[in-house]
Amino acid sequence: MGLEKLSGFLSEKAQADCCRITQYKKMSGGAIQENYALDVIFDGGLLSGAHELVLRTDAPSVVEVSHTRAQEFELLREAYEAGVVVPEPLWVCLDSSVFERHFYIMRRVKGVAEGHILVKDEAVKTNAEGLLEHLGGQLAKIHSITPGSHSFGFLEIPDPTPATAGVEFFRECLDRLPGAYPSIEWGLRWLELNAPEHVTLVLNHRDYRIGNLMLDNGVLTGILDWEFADWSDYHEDIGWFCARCWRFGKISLEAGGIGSREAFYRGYSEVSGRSIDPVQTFYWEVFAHMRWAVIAIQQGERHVSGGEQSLHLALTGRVCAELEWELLRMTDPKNKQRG
Amino acid sequence: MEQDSPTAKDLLETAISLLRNQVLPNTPAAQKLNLLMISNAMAIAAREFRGSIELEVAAMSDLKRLYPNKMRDDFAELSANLSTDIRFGKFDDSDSVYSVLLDNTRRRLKISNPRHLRSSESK
Repeated sequence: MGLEKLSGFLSEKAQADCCRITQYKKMSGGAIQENYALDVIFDGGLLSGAHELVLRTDAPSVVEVSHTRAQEFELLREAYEAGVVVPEPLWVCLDSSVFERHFYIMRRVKGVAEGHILVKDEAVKTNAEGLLEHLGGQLAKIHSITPGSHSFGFLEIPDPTPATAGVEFFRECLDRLPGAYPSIEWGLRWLELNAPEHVTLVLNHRDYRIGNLMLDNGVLTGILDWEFADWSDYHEDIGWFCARCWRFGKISLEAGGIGSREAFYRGYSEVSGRSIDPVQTFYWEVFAHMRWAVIAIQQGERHVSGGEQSLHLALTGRVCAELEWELLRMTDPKNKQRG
Repeated sequence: MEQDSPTAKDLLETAISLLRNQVLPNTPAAQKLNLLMISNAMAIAAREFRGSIELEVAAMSDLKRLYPNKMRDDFAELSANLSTDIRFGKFDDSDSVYSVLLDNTRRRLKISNPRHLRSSESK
């Protein structure tokens, strides 16, 4: 692909005399989106000099529930304005003639965002509790964005509650797939019967876990992947972060596989002023396993149906058995005492 | 009737051993993840060779126990019935249905990820 049009777009947005792209490289990861590292030198204008940027665009195969790049850009911009540590969003482009697909440009942040690596990282281990307090505080800042303070045209208020709307959505997903899923249905029924009545709606990241947090030498440099953000109860993100399925094998470290819940909760409550209800958090941890299980089934089906042959997708489909196992263990009818 | 030897399962297990013990340590870092995925997929396939018939028989037997009056032994149909009945609350808090689901998932997990099962049941 020629980069002349992209270079022209960047020059125009930065009000530069010209811009040279000195590196253009696809970054690893991203089943749903693609990221390209761009090293750019602007002559004159707002950003005169050398800059490390990222171009983020849709992968060829798009998951229907994820936001468009323009929507994700808007979420990222509001999070940035709210003081959340995110890569600074710069410009969005909805002209497909520039790069064939819509995209946006943000600054590139340094670090690693791979859960399996980070849970073994010495710098993370050394300051795990301090890091978790910071991550709890960052989540609270995201949650400072509420339907009362912000409106996003593309986000709907869940009706009647985020939990019940989620159950309905998962059932619709299953009904579109071939086969039957009795253990998933069991979990869904539990989620339906135990849905919390009290809801405090805030902007949830909805994929806030170690694998989406860029850490450089144990320090947070950017919260990534805003494609699933939506209004929900604040316990949803807390449950997702602490769910056993997102501990990357470090089961006893209940906050993201790196440390204690107490530190994470403390950081959250100090910044938000909200208390964390253990019963609601448990509910959203069950919900987290369910959501991941439904995504895993869909990913496996993308491979099986011939839509996109991929060993990664195929193996994701086989993750479902362990997610169902955990779902069943958490919803044992003999165990009415949750947690 | 003769059966070719070594069996497909034996071939797979031997290939996995070669891959993990001799190829993987000498693979460039950029390709290690792909090789680990290949080895994992082959290991699942080898375990499924070994246990899939037992799994199918046990799952069918469980379903027939839950639906003794169904005339046809159609696994897909019985499984769909169970899903629908669970969704509409017919088995809320049913210990017997829960046990069937747990046993079936345990058998599937033994194939897909036995390490997760061992770690989970040891706690």
